[in-house]
Amino acid sequence: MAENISRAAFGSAAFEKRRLPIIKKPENIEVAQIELSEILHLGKLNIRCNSIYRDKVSKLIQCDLPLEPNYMSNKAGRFAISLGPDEYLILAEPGGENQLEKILNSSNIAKHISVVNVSDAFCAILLSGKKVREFLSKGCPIDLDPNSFQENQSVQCDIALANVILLCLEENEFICICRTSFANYLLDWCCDAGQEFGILVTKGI
Amino acid sequence: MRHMQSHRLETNNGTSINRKKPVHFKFDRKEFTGFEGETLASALLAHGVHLVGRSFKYHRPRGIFGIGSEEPNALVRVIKGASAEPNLKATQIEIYDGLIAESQNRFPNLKFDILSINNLFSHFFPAGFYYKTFMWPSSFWMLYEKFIRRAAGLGKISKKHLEQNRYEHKYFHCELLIIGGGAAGLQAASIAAQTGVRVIIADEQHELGGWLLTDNNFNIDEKPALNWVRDTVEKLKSAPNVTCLNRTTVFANMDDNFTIMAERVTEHLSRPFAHLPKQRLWKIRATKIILATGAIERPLVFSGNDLPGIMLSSAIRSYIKRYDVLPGTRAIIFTNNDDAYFTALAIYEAGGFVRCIVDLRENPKSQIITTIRKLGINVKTGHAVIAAHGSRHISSVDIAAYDSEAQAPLSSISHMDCNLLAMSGGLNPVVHLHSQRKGKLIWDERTLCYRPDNRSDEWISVGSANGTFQLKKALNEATKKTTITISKLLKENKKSKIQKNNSVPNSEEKQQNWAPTPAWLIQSAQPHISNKTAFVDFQNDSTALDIKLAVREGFHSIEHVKRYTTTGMATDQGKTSNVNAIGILAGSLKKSIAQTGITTFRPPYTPTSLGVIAGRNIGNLFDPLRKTRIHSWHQSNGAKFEHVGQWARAWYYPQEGESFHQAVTREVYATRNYAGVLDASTLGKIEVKGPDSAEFLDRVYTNEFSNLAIGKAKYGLMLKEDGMVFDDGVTTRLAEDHFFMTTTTGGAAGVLGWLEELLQTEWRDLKVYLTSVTEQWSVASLSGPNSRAILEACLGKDNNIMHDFPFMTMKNSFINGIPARIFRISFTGEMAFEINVPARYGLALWSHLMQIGEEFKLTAYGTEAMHVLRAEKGFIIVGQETDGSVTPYDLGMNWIVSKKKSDFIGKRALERGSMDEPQRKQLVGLLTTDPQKVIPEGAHAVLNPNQEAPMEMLGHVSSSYYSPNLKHSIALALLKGGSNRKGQTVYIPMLDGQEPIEAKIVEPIFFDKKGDRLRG
Amino acid sequence: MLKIKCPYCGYRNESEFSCGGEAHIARPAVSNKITDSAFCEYLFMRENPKGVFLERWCHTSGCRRWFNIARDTVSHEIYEIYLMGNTPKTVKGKKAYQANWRRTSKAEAASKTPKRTKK
Repeated sequence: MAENISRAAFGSAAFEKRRLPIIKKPENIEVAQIELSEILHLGKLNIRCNSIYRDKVSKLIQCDLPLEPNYMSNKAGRFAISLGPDEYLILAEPGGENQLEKILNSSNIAKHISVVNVSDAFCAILLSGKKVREFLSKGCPIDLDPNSFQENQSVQCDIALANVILLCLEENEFICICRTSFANYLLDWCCDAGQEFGILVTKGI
Repeated sequence: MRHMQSHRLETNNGTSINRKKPVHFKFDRKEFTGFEGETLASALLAHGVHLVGRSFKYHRPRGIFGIGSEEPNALVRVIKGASAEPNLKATQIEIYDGLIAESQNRFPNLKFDILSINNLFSHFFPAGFYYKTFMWPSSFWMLYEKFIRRAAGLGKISKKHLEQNRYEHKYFHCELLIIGGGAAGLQAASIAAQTGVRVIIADEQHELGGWLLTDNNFNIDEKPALNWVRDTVEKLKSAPNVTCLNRTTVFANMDDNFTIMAERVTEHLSRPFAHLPKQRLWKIRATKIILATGAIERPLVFSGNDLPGIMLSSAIRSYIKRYDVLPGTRAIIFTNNDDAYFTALAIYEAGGFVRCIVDLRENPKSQIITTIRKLGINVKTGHAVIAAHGSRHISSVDIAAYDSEAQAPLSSISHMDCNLLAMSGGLNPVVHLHSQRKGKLIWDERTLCYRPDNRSDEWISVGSANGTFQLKKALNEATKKTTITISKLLKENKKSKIQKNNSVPNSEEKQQNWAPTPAWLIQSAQPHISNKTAFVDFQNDSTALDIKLAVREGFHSIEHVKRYTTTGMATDQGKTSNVNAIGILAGSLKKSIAQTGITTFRPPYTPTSLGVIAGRNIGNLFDPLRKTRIHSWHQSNGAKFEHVGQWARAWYYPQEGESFHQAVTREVYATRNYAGVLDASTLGKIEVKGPDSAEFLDRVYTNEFSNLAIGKAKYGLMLKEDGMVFDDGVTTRLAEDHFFMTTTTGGAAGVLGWLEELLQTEWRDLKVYLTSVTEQWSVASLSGPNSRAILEACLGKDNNIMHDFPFMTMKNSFINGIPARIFRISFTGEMAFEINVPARYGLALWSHLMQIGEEFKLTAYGTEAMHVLRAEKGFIIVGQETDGSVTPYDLGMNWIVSKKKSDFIGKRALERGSMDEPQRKQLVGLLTTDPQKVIPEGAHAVLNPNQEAPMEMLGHVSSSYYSPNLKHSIALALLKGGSNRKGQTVYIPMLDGQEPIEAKIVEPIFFDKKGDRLRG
Repeated sequence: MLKIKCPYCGYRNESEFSCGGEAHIARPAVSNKITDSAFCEYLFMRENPKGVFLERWCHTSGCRRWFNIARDTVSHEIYEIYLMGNTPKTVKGKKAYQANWRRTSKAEAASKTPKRTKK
């Protein structure tokens, strides 16, 4: 039933109220060098557990919880991101979060961990293009040098005035996760900061 | 009419200008032509224009004095479209076609400035003038201020100023930041470039090279010095690990090598690219910093030394060599060192007439002096320029034999006419960025300058910035120190290796004698007269006399003298003035310079525009505006919004022709009589999970939660440790070890932060996990007599939950297929349900409710109606009825403070004796005598409206509305001893002579006192 | 702007953190009755030393974890960063910890034997 209802995609319909695609670029640049779109309906689970239960959780969700902070692991399209010494964010295929939640909450460690569905609290934005690091450096104080922030690294930080989780997929490809209520602001910021390189905002996938 | 470039040399040797590209610009409405690559100062000098401004205090005519950011005089205003930027240095403005610049601080024009009358009365404006004169009587300050405001101040922005320029920020990380692109900086960078570490080299000028752009008639590394510069820059620009920036001023060096610099990206272009910013602020975290910031020449301090036509010797040489501009044809050189002889040579070679070199030294000997003498130039050693004369330009000087130690002339004065005076008092290393980090400075007796102590290995000074003025030694130093620094870096980072023996480029610069003779003040035989116009700080108009006066008045510390005389303050930051001021102070105190000390330089090194500091944090990017998922519905239904925290909340929904008051009245009335719905998605929501959850809630709330049954909800009040109300909200038990907490909209982040703090720091043994789910749920708060019917209709076949759904319970169900958590709780005093759905369905739920609700007269209401509804019931709002000084007892909420629990946050504080004080402010209701009169919120109440001021205040009104249901104005107030004043009459005095409002103190509840509607 | 090493996230800008003031202020349990003045020492009195200061920081924009810092209030030098529940290990940190008047305060003595609110 629920699936029949049109699901508001981006945080507070930040995308929906705009006419997509948005293209902002200087005349001398032919192709936008930054591409932005939302990854729709991505399942997101917040897991709290201390190190004793980490392996057990990893086994249950079939994706290793990273041992080190600021890293993520990825298996069969699922991501496990470390948010702190005992906090993780799991990204799963749409609907996968419900399945994982059930598995974890019916396991024998359910009492010791916390599993909270936050799929609708956060939105995931895919950012790519050869100038994407330079673009992000306009608002992100983290060292974004390709040698310092590499594939499979993640970081919780600020982009301008929004708090985000930034994941590095490839040298020029990132996922940026932010609270949905900040999505409007973040999109405005991206469109503004991306002008210099040319930015293309397209409908999510 | 365009003016002639009368002072442009034919020679065409200028290394920094492009003669093929003439550039047209305006200065003070006159049209000029210069060449691409030069500054406004150089182009004006090419036309013989020296006079470009009036001084700050005395409005004395002032001319171009220096060549770069050290310029204290030539501050101009640049106009672009509707915006005008004041206080830019003409020596740093690159000219472009269509540039419009104006002189400042003059009225009506530069040549005839009315306020220059201050100059005639300069003895009325000594150091500390404002402090002394306007001290008494204080009530006169208003009057003085108007005068001062008009007379003082430097530069003006346009009255119709509209900032349309784009400024951006950028973060950057590097292993090595090299500040300054002169010989030492370039050498450091070229070593670093080979090692693969990330390097930034930044230079203030539009081209790198520093003084090598001026002095370059020798070889470096077997090639002409200029070629060495160009090759090195080329090499750096092509290195992938090097960021090479020109037009970039590092203006702040802060803790842990956090440095800030401003890059002028398009400011120098007549048609800037729209997508690029005018300036870019770089925020850099560098592992190590090399300061190769060079040195600035010192002026000499003598009577009339501020006249236009008197310039720094090195600046004159640069104008000749870089821009083919000879600023004067009959020159006198006044010096205490060798360097000025090279200026004499440059003037001579450019075809100027060097009338005389006046050298303070008794018997200087060096190769350049011999060369100069051979050319037949008159050199007077042991002499000084005692005074300069002229009205708006120097026309002659007084010269006499001089005893530097006694600071007195030894012979009678001879006059000599001239139209240019080059002065050279030695060099000041640019130590500002070192000093900003509290780096200490050492007085070097030999080179007569303050140089860095080199204690830190986080930032390292090299070359002239370190007092190493000779090129050969500077290059050597840069090579060695950079090698050591990078070796350390690589050790820490375990990256690639560095060559240990980097070769030092062989420079064949002519040796100079860098031992100037001390000369801080040149006095005439009547020092009290000559010192009056012997300027130390040109920008702040402070003189040798001011410093001496300060000493006489008891200011002996350099920090005090600086502030009393304003020497070395403001935008100039003492670039040319500081050491001379210290020298004069030391002389007056009969102390050494080292004993006198030096002030701390502060950021910014050069004036920095507010625009670049703000960056893009302007307009809609100034502060994030958070929106709920239902926002678009509110918008298309004409809602007005109010900002709560960072949230945009629907405030009220005016229908056509409705006023604010009418709309709110309609919404309140509809909710009480039929049904209303509020978007409550912004409420803070926290999932509390873990075996100790109940214990934790017992400790943070005043009331008990461990006894709450599963599926039941409870209102809770949270205090801080001082016993004052901090937040409130309803918490529901979802399972034995699982609670769902709600907080106020504005307090959400603060509450989560506070609870996390307690768990992580205070009660680390409790097994509780908190997760914020504020945005996970969209919330529709459905309220009113028809709410039950609407919900039933919405639930359809799932409506069996309604059979047993008492007040303060929670049920899971589906609404039109949407999974929902439904809470029967109420903030309006009506039967009410808060429907929570996963946020993606928020809008769908809302639309469905509105559709089903139509036949039940469902009305969307905003936050204002919510406020009225809850005030009718006397429900408090944290932050409105509370302000951090209100306890639960003050609110009359004793019932919520558990007596059973042994501990909770705030419990001990509530037991303090003063908490029972009967005269504390307590919450009461107010009913106005005139039911139509609404008291302004925040107004104060008194018992006797006729009392003389200061009146005895009873307390303040925290909430006040017109209640459409009671047809009466109602208010909540916090009044001293309020709980014992029921029935008393109070008065609320009004502004502007209006009658005080009369009101009666009542219970803080106005509607349905028994709560029958609520429980229904 | 300081560069602070979050024990979990590594070096970050000061602007990502919030400072929670003096560390090692033990909360007196209400059941261990203490006088108003002893309680007010806990509630209101804070150190403001020139030199080494032990303080609590939270990595607000990052992992949201709290930790302790031994910082010099004059030079801003950070001598030590250590986890919650620990005491400083460096000589300077230890000295600052031991020299603090709280070690002998009544409020701190009353913080012992934490009790469950309901038994």
